[in-house]
Amino acid sequence: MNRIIRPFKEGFIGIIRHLAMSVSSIMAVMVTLFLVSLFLILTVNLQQITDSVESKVQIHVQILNDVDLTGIGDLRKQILQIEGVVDVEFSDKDDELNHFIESYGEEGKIFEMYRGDKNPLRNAFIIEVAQGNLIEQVSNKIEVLDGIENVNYGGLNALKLIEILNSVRDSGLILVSVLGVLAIFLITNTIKMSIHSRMHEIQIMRTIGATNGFIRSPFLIEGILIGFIGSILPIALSIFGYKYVYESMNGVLLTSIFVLRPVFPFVYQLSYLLILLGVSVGLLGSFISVSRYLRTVR
Amino acid sequence: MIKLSDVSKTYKNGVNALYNINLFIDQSEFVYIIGPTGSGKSTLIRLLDAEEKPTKGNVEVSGINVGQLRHGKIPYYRRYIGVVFQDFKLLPSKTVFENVMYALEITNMNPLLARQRVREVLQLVDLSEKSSHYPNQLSGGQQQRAVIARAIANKPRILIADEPTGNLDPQKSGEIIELLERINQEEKTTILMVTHDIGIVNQYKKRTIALEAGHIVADMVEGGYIQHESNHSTI
Repeated sequence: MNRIIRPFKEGFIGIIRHLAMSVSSIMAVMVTLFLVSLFLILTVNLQQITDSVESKVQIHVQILNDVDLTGIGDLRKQILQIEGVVDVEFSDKDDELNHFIESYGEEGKIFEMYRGDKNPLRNAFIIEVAQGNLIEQVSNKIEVLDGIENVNYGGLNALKLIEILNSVRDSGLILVSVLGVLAIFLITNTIKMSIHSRMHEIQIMRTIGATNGFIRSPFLIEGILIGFIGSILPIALSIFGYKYVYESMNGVLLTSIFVLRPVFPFVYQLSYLLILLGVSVGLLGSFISVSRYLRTVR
Repeated sequence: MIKLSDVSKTYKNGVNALYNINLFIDQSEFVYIIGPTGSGKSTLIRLLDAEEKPTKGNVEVSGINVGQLRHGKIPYYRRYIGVVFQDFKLLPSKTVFENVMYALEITNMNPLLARQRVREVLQLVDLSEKSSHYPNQLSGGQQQRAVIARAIANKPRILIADEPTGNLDPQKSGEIIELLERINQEEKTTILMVTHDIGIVNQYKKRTIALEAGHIVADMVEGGYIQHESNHSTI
């Protein structure tokens, strides 16, 4: 029991008795985790926006009038086999007209006269694609099938937008990774410095006959605690900050197409990630530095 | 108990510290090691403490080949010997009590028994009132006694003391020697004491080994220091 409690007790005492060093390490953790959190929030939301735009881009396929129901069934099967196609929804002439009328709101009522046999519209497929960048490719493949009159998707503009969002998100991800590496480097270095000031202490412990594990364990707990304490403020700021921004923007960025990531459970996932990052970096930093000094003494 | 056979030590920077030392010290002996600065006394302690490896020869303590000990095994060996360091080596961020306690904690001793033992040794070295002080709040002599308390807390088989009276006035020095004598007699602890203090060597006569320039120049079993006409005035 003593073996388990001791490192924790000593770890706490270590933080308190080397307060200045502990505070500077905690600050390093805080600042970097805050930046990581900020960029993560941006990247995740860009992804969210890209997804929501992508899901709104569908391919609309009009079928020639002379294709009968069995032919439509065959066509549907053929389309489903195309790579990247997630869903093929059949919408017959009447559905199409309803949709058309609806889209014009009140004024659409004048088109009611086309109901029934006079309906000039075509039977259609509404196709969902796995990723935005597949839309063009899938469209081209559908276009050459027999019985297809016309293939339509949001056009080049929609594709361009998705492309831009994707590249912005990718650079965000790269930034987060670079920042993550920088954070680990910075925190490890700060902890290294704080432990360097206690190199003498580590050497004495070994001289008295303490095993490496015995010397190391309180420092590891100290590192974990520093990482943990350092992650509290960034987490609180992320949760309340993001909640505030999300609510004041009504969950969207500028237009309703750009939907932001809902606050929950996103902020919880973010918090777990930040704690994990802080704690593991603290642990790693302590481990590396203490082990290094242990090797220098016999 | 302690057996050095043909031990030589040359440091990496080329300094020769010891030449072909042959030495045998039996269990429960009390031995002074004297010699001028740079005569190899500290090197001898470092070899016994497994801090340094001999360049040549064997250092054997209780059948353990100290020079061949693996890095991970050294701590276990050190619990078996107690060292009173000249530079104290007290942990600055721990109180006197915690410093002594640390030497027992590393052996995973029952905390209750350990605390009791700490109080016991602190009383022995007359530091009970200073037990909650930090090392930098103590005088040199008090730090010295704290180090002795730590070195003996674990009841080591061998106690190596590097200038344990260096910072003490003659009266306190005498008390320390008497304390070491008591440990030597009651616990049958082998004691190796490095000293400059000719007064002590002559007053409390023990086997005395004199080192000079890395050689053993005298091994006086009957003890006492014989003044040569030559260059021993620096001792």
